[in-house]
Amino acid sequence: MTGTEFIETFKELIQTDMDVNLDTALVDIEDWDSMAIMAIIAWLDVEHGISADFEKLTNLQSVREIARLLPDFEE
Amino acid sequence: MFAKIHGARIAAIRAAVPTQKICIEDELEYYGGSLKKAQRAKAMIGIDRRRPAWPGQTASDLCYAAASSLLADHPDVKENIDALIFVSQSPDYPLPATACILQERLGLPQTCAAFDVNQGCAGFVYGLWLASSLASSGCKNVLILAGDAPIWPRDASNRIIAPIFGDGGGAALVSASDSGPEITFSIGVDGSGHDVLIMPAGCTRLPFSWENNDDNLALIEKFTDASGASWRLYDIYMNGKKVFEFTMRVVPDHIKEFLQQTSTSVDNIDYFMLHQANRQIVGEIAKKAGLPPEKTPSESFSKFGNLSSTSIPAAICDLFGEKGSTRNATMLLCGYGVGLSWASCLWHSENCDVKPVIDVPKPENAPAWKEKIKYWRDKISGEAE
Repeated sequence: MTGTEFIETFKELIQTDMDVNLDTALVDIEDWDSMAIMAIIAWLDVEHGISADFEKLTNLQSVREIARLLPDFEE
Repeated sequence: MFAKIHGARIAAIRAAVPTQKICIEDELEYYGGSLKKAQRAKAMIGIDRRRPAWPGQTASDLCYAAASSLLADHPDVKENIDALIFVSQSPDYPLPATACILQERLGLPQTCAAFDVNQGCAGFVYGLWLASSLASSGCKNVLILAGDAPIWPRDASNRIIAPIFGDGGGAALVSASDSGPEITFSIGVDGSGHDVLIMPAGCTRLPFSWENNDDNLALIEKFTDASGASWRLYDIYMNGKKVFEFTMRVVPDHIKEFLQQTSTSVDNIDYFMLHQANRQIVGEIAKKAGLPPEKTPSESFSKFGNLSSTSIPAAICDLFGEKGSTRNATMLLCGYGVGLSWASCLWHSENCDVKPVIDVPKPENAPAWKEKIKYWRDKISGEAE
């Protein structure tokens, strides 16, 4: 998955219209809340078979760090 | 636990909710006053409308309404109810069992067994399992009542619980039957998660004090967590993150395993009626378990809120009520939540009698708090004689 594809998916999953890139700090995304984290956890699990929990995701700093959880992520 | 039960039939189901309706647009304070944020919550998890109980309206009142409707349509059954099971986390009193009170309110025979089961979101399926077991082993008819309404009005400052939950009462009639398909159950529990959805105070582990009122105040005073959500020890606490992680970890695999154990494919099931925790969770369970979304209804959460043990009967009545029957649909019912517990049922429904969800109006002349105190003091002291 390319960075552009990931950003598009990420924004759709967390339902944000904020201008986001891979280096955006998660803490700066107003819509990065528990609903968003649940959506990402479920997407990683269901679509990619990747297990992640709230603690793991809340310790991440940037959008890129989430994308790097995907084994097929192309930087 | 895995069990196939022969000799029982789920004959009728009803569900009742209060007429009080709150829409998400009425509660913008939960979304920082932002309509846009409220609409996002609606889009992501399906919050839209919920039905909280009226002041003075209890879970047993809502179950009574559901049961009354059911018994009115099955008048020949009433005198032959051999057991009444009230499944709830919000009894009328710590004792006696609310089922005993409902026996009298419903005019059921005194030969009826009556008991409560303290269960939540898995409670309706637990109730069906118990009732089916009883009906297949000698009881002619078993009435399950499953419902919840909070012990007091939900604290509006608790933004985790208050915007999501509604209140309701469900009723199901399970009858002994010589013919008809088996009903299969699979039930599980993980008590290590008991404290992620709990009311810590008010029973024997953390009781009220007769001697020190400061201790009692500590049980009811509000405090906040790191996210700013407010809680009380004598109230429901939910760690939403842990409950979500449990749900995703356990429930989809449980459903897949249950289908395997029953040699049933997804194609053989007409509907997967999951506990309506919220629309997002139902959708994610369906995706992970490989359930077709068109077979996995999720809209009743948006109409009524999370109804705890009433959510499955409400979803069934919402789906089939206008048709008057379940029309031979094969359903997999799955409840999950407090305990942490989960329970599924494979049900070939034949023509189970259902009606649309019943609206229960505000109780008239509900006694005020002080009136209730006076009533009990007078009764116990003998002054009411």
